[in-house]
Amino acid sequence: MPAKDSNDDPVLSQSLSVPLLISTLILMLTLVWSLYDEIYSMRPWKDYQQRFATAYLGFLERLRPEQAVREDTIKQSAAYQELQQNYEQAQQAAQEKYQALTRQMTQGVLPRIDVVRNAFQVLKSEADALTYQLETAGSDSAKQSLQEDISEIKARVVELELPKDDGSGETEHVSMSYTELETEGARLRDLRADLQRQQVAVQSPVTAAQQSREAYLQDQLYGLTPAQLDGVIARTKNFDIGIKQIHLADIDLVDRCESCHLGIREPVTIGKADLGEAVFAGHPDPDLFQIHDPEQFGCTSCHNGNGRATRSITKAHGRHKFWLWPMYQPENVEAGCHQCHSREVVTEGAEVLNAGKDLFLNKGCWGCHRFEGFDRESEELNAVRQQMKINRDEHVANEKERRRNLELGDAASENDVAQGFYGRGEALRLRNAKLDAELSALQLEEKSVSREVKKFGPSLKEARVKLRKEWIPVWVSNPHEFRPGTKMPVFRLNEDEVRAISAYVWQSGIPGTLEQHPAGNAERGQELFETRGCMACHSMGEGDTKQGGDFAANLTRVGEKTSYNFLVRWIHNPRELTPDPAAPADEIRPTPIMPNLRLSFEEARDIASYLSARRTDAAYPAADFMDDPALAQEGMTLVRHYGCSGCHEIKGMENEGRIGTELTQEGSKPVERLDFALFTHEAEGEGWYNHKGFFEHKLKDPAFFDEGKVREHLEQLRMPNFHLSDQEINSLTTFLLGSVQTQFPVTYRFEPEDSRADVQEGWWLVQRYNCNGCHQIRPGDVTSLMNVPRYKDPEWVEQLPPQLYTEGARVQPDWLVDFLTNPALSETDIHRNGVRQYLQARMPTFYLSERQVGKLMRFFMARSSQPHPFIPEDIQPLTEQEQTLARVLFTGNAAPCLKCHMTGDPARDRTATAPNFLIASERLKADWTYRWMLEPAKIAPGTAMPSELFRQEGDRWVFNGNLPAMFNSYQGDHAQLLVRYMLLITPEEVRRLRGSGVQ
Amino acid sequence: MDWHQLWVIISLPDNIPIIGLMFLIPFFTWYGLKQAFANDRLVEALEKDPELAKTHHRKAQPYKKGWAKEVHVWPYLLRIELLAAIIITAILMVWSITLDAPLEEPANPTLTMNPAKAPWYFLGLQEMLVYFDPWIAGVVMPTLIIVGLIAIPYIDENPLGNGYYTYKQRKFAIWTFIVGFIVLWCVMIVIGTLIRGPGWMWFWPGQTWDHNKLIFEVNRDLHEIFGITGRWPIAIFGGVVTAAFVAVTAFAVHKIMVLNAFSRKILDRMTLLQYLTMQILMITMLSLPAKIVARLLFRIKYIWVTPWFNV
Repeated sequence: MPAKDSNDDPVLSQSLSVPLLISTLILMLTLVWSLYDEIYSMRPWKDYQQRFATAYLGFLERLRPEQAVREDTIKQSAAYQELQQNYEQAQQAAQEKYQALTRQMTQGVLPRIDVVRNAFQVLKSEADALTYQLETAGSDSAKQSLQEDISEIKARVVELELPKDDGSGETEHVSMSYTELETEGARLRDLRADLQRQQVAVQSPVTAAQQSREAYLQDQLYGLTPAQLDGVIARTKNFDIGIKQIHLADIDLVDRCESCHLGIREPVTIGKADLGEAVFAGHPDPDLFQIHDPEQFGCTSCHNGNGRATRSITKAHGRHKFWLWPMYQPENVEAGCHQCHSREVVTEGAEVLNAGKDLFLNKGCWGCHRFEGFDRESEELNAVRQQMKINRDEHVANEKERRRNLELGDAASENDVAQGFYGRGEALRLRNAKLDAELSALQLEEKSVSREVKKFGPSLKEARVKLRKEWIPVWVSNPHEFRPGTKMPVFRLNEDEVRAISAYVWQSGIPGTLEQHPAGNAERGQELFETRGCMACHSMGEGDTKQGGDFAANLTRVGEKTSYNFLVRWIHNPRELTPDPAAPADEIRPTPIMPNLRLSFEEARDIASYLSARRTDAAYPAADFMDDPALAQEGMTLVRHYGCSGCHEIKGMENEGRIGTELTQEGSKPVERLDFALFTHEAEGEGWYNHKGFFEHKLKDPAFFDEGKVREHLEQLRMPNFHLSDQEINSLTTFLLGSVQTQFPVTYRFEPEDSRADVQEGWWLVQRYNCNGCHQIRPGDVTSLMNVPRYKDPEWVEQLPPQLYTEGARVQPDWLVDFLTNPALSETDIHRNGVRQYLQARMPTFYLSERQVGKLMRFFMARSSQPHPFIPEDIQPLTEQEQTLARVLFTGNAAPCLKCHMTGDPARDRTATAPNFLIASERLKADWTYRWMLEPAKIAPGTAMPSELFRQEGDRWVFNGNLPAMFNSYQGDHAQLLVRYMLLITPEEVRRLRGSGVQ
Repeated sequence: MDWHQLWVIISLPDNIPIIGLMFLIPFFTWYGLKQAFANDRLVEALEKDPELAKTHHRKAQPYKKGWAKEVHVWPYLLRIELLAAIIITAILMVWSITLDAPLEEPANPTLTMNPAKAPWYFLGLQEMLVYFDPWIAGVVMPTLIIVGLIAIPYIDENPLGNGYYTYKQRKFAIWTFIVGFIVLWCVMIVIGTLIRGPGWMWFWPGQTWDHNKLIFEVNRDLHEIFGITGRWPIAIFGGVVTAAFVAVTAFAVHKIMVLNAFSRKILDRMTLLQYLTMQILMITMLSLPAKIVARLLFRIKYIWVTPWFNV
């Protein structure tokens, strides 16, 4: 810079070149920076894609030779060679015929069609053009002349050199008119179609052989063939870098997850380590894509997260303060299922979510928290009662109005006016008659629905007759101390509250007397307890010695609390309640969940004696305060405050509402509405200021968010502590996280109206009544009974209640309805099982409503894909000869049927170990019975029914044993014969069987 | 001291302009005043020289005798503006690359955010709601501010100070600006941004913004302190106090106007309408600090309570 004269005017002489240059350079730099930002920093997925393409290509190229070697090995295996031979043979067999057909087609029919069609087209176009002129011609004479022209064309005869249609390659000279060409064209088209059909028919064994060969290869290879891999490699080599996006216009969903998760849908299974980075791994459960095609569902609809975001992992996964739908953590991933599968209590494949729903149902959460779908029965009951009230009110109002009209009619001076009033009165009378009819229908419905309503806990109206007085305060203060793991949670009660609540419970119990029973045989009682099926729901023993199911109470110390006489009554029939003389006559009390096992009084006394002895010698302090009415009054307020009536039936609180918050859409409640209290900042700092964090802390310790708060005791959080395990907390959290207000239209939700809805409905009942405590509903289920050591003994495996995988296919719906209504299948002989009388475990009577029975029946039918309604197969009656043959086969020593199966003969049935044949005709479905006889092990693995009773001989199945000589001339299917015999058995035949002295 | 909380507040992209404002406004005020004082000295020197006093020449430092009396806009002004434009563009580019737009979650009509804050340039208005009846703070005051700004050229007819910084020739205007804009408006924006937390409660910088915070604050109206009851006595009492405030403020403003000969000359040139308009605007403006003091220090809500309006 040249030196300046200090006398120069700086405004005029000062040069700004340097600052301008520097600032311009800075501006250029920022420009470059912004371009870099635009192209790379804001698009990190580009780098991912480059890395993926390289790593994937390397992986594929390593995989290809491995697959090639494996393919070669498989191709050299005997099984493949055989398939290959089959294929070649089929090809050879078909070759000649196929070639002949092809020759005829290519050398005869097709060229001939060409020639004929061309010639015909020329004539037709000319005629069509003239026809158009004819249609639009003005004068009759013009029409006349055009008509003649057309006739001339149609009459014209063309000379053609036609290839012969037999494929010989020769040609023939033919002259044909317009109509002849048309007919010939049609004939040739038919011929072509016929030839194509023949080609397919000839080729079909070849195709089938090829397919079975390919299927075998695919099956053995676990993955893609080298040829398929080559395709993938070629595609990867030309990898196109760009946003990979799924766009679903109807739900406004844009998911760009696959811009980084590039291996997620690749045909090659990619493990987490295969490409060096877990981000490129394939979906862990690709089978899910079969039913949830990503092109139709996207990614974030299940997983949550911000599908549009591509700028960073945090943003794309929605882990941002302002993103309302952060991606579910791996342990809660099944939460995403619930928003569409909200109608279900059991969703196939979502075991954590199912566990959460099961906990919600079977820990009694719904006693305090409303959740749509849970305890629907009591809501339906309320709706029915509401409707009844509306009807009654209208009835009264109508009646009043009718009388008024009649009076007005009587008082009217004019005849017309009087008629008007009478007419209105009559209309009201008719309306009331209709209301009466509706009301009686509603009354029936009320009765039916009220049978379904269950309280979660035991009725406290029975407290006085059932419980030991001193035990109540001990239990109320800490149920988990008396019975670890019980479903009754621990409330935050102080000493005074415990006393007051106990006093109220005691004094609100119905004072009644119990029938006095003599003591039973406790030893026999234990045997009965362990074999009748009690342990499907109840457990015995604590800690490591615990056996039995968790569905109902642990009875290790039941003798300390329950009176003997009450136990006898309860075990004999849990539905027998202590009558309340003070209750209104039409009161409908909720019935217990425990079903009736149809035990005799003797058995009940034995079991009760056994249970009464289940006690420790713990001392209970005297509890005279419980008779103080003033204390009970205090207790009533507390019982109401803590919402005890949510789970228990309590006198005077039959219609109390729920005290908890509704949880149906808890997962989409704004996080600001979840009261983190003094932990808000800690949670924000530690990263659990979200739904998951709130649910987990709340479930772990429901009083957690009270910590540090100074509050009156009754203003504290009321939720009691269930002492849940971490796994249980995770399941419940998953369920609650998924309980959101779905953004998806109905078409996305799984709300079927066909038989799948029956399955959804049925699961609720199965879970509610613990059917799977005894029965395996799905293959792989483990029932509570299976875990009882006794049933692990091979001798006792046979004593397990039947598996119900194929129940719908096995039995007829009408029979199933009868059975579920009355499992004894008898009105008089009730102390037994209806079907499997040899089982010690007893199918109990659940007193289901008709609606429930129907739901269960449809559940089983739908699970076995049975058509609805059921139409019995026509069974061909047996001829005299067949009847004899079947009887011989059935009763003969060769077939072991009667060795195990019952026949209704009491003396013999005692040793039987399989169901009664004689009810087969109304119970079983013919096609199932047939399949069962051929391959029982396939239907029920582990069954005692022997397989290979029959062997295949040509098209028929033949009994696999010594056959009486008379069978030599019988050409029918032996298994079919037996099915027909059994399903058509007549009482006469039964008598005859018994008479013939079947062993 | 909750450093995390402090960082959360000042690093919020929405609050960056306020942080800038806290430093830039004082700096440029100081810088402008520095130039103004220098110019004032130049003007003084020029006026002492009888030769130069009567001629038209530039009044901005630096200046030496013999230099051009006037310079052209192009290139001497525009090249500086170009430089400024380039620098500002570069700053804006860097800003836009490094800070994303502060988007939040989708609006939820059933859930109001807490604290619910206006955009930063409206936070002064929102803060005023603490001190005045919503009708006054939300309607009257904003209207007066706009009307007042429009009216300034018609009130202030002082021709001096055009095209150069000067303090001496525009003392009154500059002090009005410093009190009205910097002290009241900018400070209120800063308070609204950095100090007001959940529930619009006062949190000192570094205090945790706790949603559960409860403060004991009972606000009183002035008449309650004096134990005055009855509708009319209250209204009359309030009216008297307000009138007294108006009288005192008007007197003080007038006193300032006649403080020196220069101001007196300007005052003499003003018409009555100009003078009254100015007084009304000044009194309204100064009622704000009065209310701030009354509210924050004495917990007084309203001075003048009537069935129709509250002041």
